[in-house]
Amino acid sequence: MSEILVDVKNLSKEYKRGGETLIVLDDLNLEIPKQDFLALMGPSGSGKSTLLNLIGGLDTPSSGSVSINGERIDQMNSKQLSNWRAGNVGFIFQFYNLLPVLTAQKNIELPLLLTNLSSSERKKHVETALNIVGLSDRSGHKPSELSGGQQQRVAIARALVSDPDILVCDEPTGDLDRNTATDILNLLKSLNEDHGKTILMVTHDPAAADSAKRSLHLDKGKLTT
Amino acid sequence: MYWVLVKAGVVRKKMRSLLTILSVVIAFFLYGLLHSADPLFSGAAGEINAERMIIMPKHDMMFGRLPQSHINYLESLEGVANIAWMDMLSMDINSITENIPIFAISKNYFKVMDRFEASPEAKKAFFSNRRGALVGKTAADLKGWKVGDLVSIPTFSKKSDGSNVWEFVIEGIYTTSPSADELGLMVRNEYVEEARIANKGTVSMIFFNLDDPLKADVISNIIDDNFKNSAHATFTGNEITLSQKMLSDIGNIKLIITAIISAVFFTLLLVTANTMSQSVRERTSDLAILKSLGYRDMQIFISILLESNFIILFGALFGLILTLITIPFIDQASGGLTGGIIVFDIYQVIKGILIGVLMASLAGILPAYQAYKLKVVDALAKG
Repeated sequence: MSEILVDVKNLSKEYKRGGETLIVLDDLNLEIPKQDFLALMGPSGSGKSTLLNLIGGLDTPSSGSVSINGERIDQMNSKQLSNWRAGNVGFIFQFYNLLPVLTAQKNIELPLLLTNLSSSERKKHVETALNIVGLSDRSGHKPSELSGGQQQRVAIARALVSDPDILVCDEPTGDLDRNTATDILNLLKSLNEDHGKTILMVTHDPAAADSAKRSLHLDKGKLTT
Repeated sequence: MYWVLVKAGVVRKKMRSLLTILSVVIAFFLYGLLHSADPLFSGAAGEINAERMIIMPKHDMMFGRLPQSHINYLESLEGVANIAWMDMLSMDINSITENIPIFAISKNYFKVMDRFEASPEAKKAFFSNRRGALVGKTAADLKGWKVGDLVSIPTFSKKSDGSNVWEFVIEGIYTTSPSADELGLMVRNEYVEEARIANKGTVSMIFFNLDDPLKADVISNIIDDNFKNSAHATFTGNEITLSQKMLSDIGNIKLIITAIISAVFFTLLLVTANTMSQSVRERTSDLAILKSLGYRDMQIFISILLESNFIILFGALFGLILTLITIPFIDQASGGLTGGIIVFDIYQVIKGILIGVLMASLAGILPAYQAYKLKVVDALAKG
């Protein structure tokens, strides 16, 4: 069996809303091996995005533990989590979330500005990431000059550029047409198979989930499949 | 790293940033201009000397007069040296284009007012000719007067022959620092006193030096006390106290200027703080993404503060440079009247920049704190 990259144990997340406690994740256990491509499905409000945020180190659990590559990220403070995110995880969002005033190249370079890499080294990394997503000829374009699919490719390149262990994707094809979505899913598949990236993807789309190696269903904060 | 974030923030809404910077430029240009005139209102202009004593009419410093008998009294006082006096002839400004003040000065004037300089030959010729005149360099340039010229000047003072046109022979040029005082014509007090009909036996101001400058207050009080109940009460002081008293008679100009600058800066602070808040609100999603990429809360806080500093300091620098460029033009337009008095020195530039940093920090701190506290998950959920 492959080495475990993500180890989630007895994970719970609750929110207080007007005196009421809302349980979003309920004593959840999950293991994701290295180089896995896992699709997480489930109805709205089932806790998919919350789980994604906890594994990506954007949020902290109410109880339980989240270990990535053996590191307990649930015990990290805000500063430690920021540092951890910078080197270990890449995010891909539904609406690309690129900075509109920066070119594709500058958007991709953003995570590298937190490193000690020189300008020429950063440039090299950005060029590699652009090559992988097939957008070398669009490096000087701003997001408004790119199509939705191209913007998502830039977002993927930004997630890749610091060479993280895991890519966390929240509905990466949710805003794209079928053909473009297929291209993006093929790209993610290639990143998983050819570049060894572990991918955790939240999706509503069964066709998108079919691209993954396996799927899990979440309902009312519990894994059902 | 910070430069990329600051630039991205500033160029996101180019027109808004440009207009904000423009308002900062105007505010600091105003600051620069008003502050450059500070010496005029603080009595620190040019060569003002604390040891040069002046007696002026207490109740009307501009147009009041003092009887010459005050000079006799002064001569009897111990510790007083080099007494001089001066009167003024007003040009008839209806018949001329440039008003050049005419100072009718006594013999010792140059000894007391030693910032006025003329060559020994010019002084000798001036004091040898009853109708002699020394013209300030600026006035000579303005009027095209040369040594040896006979000038006829219409005034508001009539002579005993019924004419109000006074004739003088230019015997030399005087200079001074600052050059603002070079816009004048010095003539002999004896001649004016003898020839005029009105105001005979009076002077505008009396000047003197002290044997011991430390006794300035004591002697001032003795003189003013002596004339306290007379029709010609005096106000005695050095040039600094006199200029401040004259200005306070007009009104507290410095306070008014400070109030204007404060109001301008306060308004600017609100405008910039509002712009920054709006900008941060609009960028909630961008800031959340940066945090998700690993940017720390404090790095985001600093980048917003730097952005606020960039907008204000960029504008402030332009405003201050604009002031430096404008001052020579003001000087030129005033015909040299403001020469050397209106100054904008490095101290004021540094003060302006420090005010800019303070304003930028105040304007940026709240939006920066909002960005600092921003929760990635909440911001992303809102889109």
